[in-house]
Amino acid sequence: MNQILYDPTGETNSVFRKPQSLPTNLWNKKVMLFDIGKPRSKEFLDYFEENLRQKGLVPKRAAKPTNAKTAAQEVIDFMVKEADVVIGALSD
Amino acid sequence: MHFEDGFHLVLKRDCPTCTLIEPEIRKLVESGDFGQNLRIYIQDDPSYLSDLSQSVSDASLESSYRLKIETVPTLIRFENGEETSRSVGWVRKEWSQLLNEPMFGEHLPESRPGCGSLTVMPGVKETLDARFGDLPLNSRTIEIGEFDDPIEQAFERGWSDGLPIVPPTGERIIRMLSGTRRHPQEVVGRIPPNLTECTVEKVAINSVMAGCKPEYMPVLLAALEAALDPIFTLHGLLCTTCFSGPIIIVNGPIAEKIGMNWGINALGQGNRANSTIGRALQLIVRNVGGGIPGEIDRATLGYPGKIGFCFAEDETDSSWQPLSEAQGFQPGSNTVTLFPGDGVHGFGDQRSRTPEELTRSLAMALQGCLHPKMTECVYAILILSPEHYSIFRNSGWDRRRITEALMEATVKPGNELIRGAHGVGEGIDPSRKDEMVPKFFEDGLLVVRAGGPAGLFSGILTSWTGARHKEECKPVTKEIML
Repeated sequence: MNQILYDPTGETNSVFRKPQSLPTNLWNKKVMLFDIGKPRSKEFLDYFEENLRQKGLVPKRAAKPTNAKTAAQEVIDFMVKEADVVIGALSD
Repeated sequence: MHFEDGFHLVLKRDCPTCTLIEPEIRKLVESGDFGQNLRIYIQDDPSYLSDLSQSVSDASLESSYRLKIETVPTLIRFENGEETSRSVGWVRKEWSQLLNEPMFGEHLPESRPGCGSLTVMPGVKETLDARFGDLPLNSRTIEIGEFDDPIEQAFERGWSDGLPIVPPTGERIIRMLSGTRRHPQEVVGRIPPNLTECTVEKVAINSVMAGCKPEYMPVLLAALEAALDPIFTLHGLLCTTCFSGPIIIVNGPIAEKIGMNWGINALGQGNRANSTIGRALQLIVRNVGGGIPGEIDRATLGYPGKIGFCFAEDETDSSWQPLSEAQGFQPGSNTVTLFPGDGVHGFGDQRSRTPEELTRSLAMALQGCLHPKMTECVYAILILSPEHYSIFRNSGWDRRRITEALMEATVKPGNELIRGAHGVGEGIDPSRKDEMVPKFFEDGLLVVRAGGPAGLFSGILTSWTGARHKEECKPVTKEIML
């Protein structure tokens, strides 16, 4: 007789847990620079944006106020709608 | 399962009342046509009355369960597919009326109580609920082979924190849910990072896996609610590169009731409640919320307490105000305090004999929380052992005085703490060189009591650095609702 176990997870695995593979390049991609609220994130992203612009890309920006909390849903929705690739700044 | 019209009798050999009426049953069966309308279910010994064609073994207890038998003997009559009458135990008048046999059992006593049905033996009901009942569980089921090892299956599915888990079977989950009055489908909150709804049922499933007992459920539910309080900032805690995880401190009579340890080796291994409540919370974060190391959990090193860290405060010394009262709860309240921290950083002082000496000594150790030159960026918990506390108590120092003295003793001149001081790059902003700088925020140091009676050793727990924004992250205390 087979055994029955009950799923301890949020049962969202197939929806949320499989990230897309990383792109091999950013050409023709809509790029989002995401400030997660760590100190000096802006400084890093400004530098990154300048580099991307020199390569002909026009990245958009999104931010959340603190790294300690999840982003507001509207911020997530904005990035989903406006970006193919999101680059986050994880640094102090 | 369908029950034919007629009489259904449930017995077990290990029941004196059943054996008392056995000769009357035999006479009834052998008397002629009546036996065709009777079915006898034997719960225990399948050889009992096996010479009678009406007798069947109910070793699986399925028939007894579906007939809702709580006592044997029980005689039930079905007519037109419905139960129309039932007699529990032996009551001569009831049986003779039910069987329409006025002389049935005329030589037997008027009544005898029956014995407990095997279906209501401890632990059996939950198993039968799982096998034959309509379980009030909504989680999806996962079918594995008869010969599969469920522990290995759990590892393969990523449900484990690295240690073997107790397989979450229906009967274990039902038994776990018996530890709370809350409905299985009540939503406790949304677990970060995926912000997935977590029901009481999911809490129970993960509690089973962690090895909890049902009576731990109220503590775990309160701990989860505390962890989900926005000011605890669970999301930040679980994704930080710091060492930290949620640490649970239990206060109140429930700690003793569920057998928690606040004495010898209080922060160590060997106590089921201490070891499994914290583990269950972390399994919920992992499994329901998706907080998985290497994914959203970015801890540089982590620490072993992230498997689960839970202990109770020692409230046996009446001179000591428990943490729950210090946090504003009534004396005798059952509470959990969630602390976003790591440790234990050991503190040993065998020589200080006065409270002033010991305060200065402890302050040296507390100064090292995170970094000796970093200030107002972490909370800390000092876990005072009985021997260290006795030095304070014998001089009449209470919680308030100890805390105030430690806060004062950890204030240092800014010029010793600024970046570059002592040849160390780390430190506070140089603009504060002329200030006297406190190590902690005003409410940044908590003190609790725990530990064995011998040993001049205390412990320090340090929070993660997210607490440097004190309006964003704080320890949280919640009452445990029984």
